[in-house]
Amino acid sequence: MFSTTDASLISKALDGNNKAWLKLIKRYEKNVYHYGLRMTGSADDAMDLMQEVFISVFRNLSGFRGDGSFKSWLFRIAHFRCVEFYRRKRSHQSLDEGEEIVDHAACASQPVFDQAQSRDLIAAMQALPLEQKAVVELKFFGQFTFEEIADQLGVSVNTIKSRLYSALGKMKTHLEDIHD
Amino acid sequence: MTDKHELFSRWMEHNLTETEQQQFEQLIEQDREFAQRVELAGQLQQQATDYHLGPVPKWQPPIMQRQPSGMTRWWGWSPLSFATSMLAIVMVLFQVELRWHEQGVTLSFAGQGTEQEIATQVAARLASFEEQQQVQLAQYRQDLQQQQQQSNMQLANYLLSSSRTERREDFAELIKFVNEQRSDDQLYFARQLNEFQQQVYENTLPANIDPDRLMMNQE
Repeated sequence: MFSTTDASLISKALDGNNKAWLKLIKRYEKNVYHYGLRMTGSADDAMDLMQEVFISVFRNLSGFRGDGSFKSWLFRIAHFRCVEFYRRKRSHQSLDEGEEIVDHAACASQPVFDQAQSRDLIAAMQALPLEQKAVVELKFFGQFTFEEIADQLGVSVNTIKSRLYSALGKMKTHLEDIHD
Repeated sequence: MTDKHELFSRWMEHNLTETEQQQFEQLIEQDREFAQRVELAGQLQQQATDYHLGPVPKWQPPIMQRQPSGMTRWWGWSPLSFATSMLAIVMVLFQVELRWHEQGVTLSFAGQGTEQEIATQVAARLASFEEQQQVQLAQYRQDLQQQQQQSNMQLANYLLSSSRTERREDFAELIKFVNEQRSDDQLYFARQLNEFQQQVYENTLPANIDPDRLMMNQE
């Protein structure tokens, strides 16, 4: 039902209907913003990332074929923009290996992370390498299936499953360190 | 991919069969690490469910305008843009040139206008160069003529003055020679006269008179 509505909004937006375009943005801006918030751990970076994502969507909307859901296509773009964001930010650090530098203060400062448990989980998530963090984000917060995540990230389903399992192991260790 | 990973993945997707569910629960009891992962996944699922999507700060989304579809066909182009494109292509291919002069506009093809203009300019330059050369040549000839006249005049004057001087010198030399000759002749004749005088006295005086003494007395 949603995909049909999305398709309708996209069609209208492509015909120059700005109202439909804004409605489409309104529908997904929170998801994208909070995706950025959890992926970057900073409200400013999340805002920049969200704007970059919607500018990319704006430029490439005519190329959306409607093979999959718009949400899935949108988060694929969000992931690419996020990877570029991290490349710009830490060009010297490998994306697949090496621990991300976590801005705990930035994470803790967000009003959405007000509960201690939530804060710890997000902090533990920030400690993951980008590819594992992306899988955790898309699986738990994006509510995507393994197939959808594999399609978005351009890797096999088994790789996604392995990444998730490894990510949970690392997060568990990190949470134990925090509590100790 | 181990059975443990697969079981965990199927649990995540809520796809466990009854048998798999039993295996899964058994694994939780036996494998502490697996159990902790399952617990953490549960916490994250709960966290995601309870996650409050706060408001997004105000921002300015890009304004959507009509975007051309990727399937647009070439015959779907605007006739005006097609016509102008074709005109531009023709103008480039045939090297069409439009020139605005004081008299009007010139339209030329394949660079002919340029060639004609070059030929005209070259001819004008050559004519100007020829005229300039002729003027300079005439002036040069006149200057040369004047210079030749002056040289001839100077040469004639020099010849005249030098010949006069030579002649004057020659005459002076001649007169000097004549005068010297006359002086020599006078001396010669004086000596001859003295000799004659001596002879005359000797011949005319008596024999007892000494002529030398006479001469001394006369003196």
